[in-house]
Amino acid sequence: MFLLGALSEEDSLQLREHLSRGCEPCRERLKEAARTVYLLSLSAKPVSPGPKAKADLLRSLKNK
Amino acid sequence: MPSEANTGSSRPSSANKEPTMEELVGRVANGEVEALGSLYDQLAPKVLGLLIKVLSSRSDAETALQEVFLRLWKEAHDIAQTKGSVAAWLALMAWHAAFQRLRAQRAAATRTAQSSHRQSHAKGEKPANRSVASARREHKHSTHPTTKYDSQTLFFLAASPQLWMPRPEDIALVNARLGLLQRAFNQMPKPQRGALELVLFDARTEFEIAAQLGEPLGRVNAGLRAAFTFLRHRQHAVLGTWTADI
Repeated sequence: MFLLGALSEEDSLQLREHLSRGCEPCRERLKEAARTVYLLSLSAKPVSPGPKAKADLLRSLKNK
Repeated sequence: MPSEANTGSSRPSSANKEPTMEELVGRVANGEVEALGSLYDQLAPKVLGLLIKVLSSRSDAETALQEVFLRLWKEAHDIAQTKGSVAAWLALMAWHAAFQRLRAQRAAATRTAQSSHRQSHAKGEKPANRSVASARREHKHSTHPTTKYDSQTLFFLAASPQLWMPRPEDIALVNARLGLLQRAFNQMPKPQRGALELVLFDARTEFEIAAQLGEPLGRVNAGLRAAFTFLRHRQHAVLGTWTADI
């Protein structure tokens, strides 16, 4: 919930402070949660971007 | 920001082997546009699939896709330093981008609905051209208590990827055992699954879900916690001890 920003602002702030202080077990849990997020993201069927999308992106980077 | 100098010194030693995604991120951090192109080829379809599932609109999803890869370009240096999985980074950032977009759209729709409601009320007319879906969404939204969304988490996460980026080998294991994991997840009890999907694919907070389902907040929270615990335990079973009968 926290990783997805789906916590209330107050709860999330508490959790951020806690993590910033470097609690190791909580970090491991957070990594595990991020792995879950990745896993759940795979429940969506892959869709190829439009043919111009990649070229547009790369061109915009080259011009920067 | 990627540096303009590209000495090629960070290239992997074995030239014949396909570079790993994490090696590619290292090259992106050195300003190699082509390395970003390779990552795009490998990962953009997955990211776009997720974005479409959450956002419904293909064109919004394509815009968000570009934003997420632009972000990868800008933050490649920090990502590379964590030695974490770039696929996991992308999934999380895409999800976040989709949620922010969805919430901004809903907030705007609510404002428009409120002002057009006032206007049509003044004229004694019913608002025209409203799809059933948008009317339903507005209705759902209007019944929610005001929720203050957490908009700072993304900033925090992006600034401190070392706190949460899973290791590439962990992600490789997930990919290798995907079928088993999905089968295990499908055994989740229906009510938990319903609430979880509202969080994941409809960007709802626990407050909104409680309002939508007409259930007490405490029960919704307990259900969501149970859903996430279920996911954790099943992952442990499939990825870790390998003893569970699934």
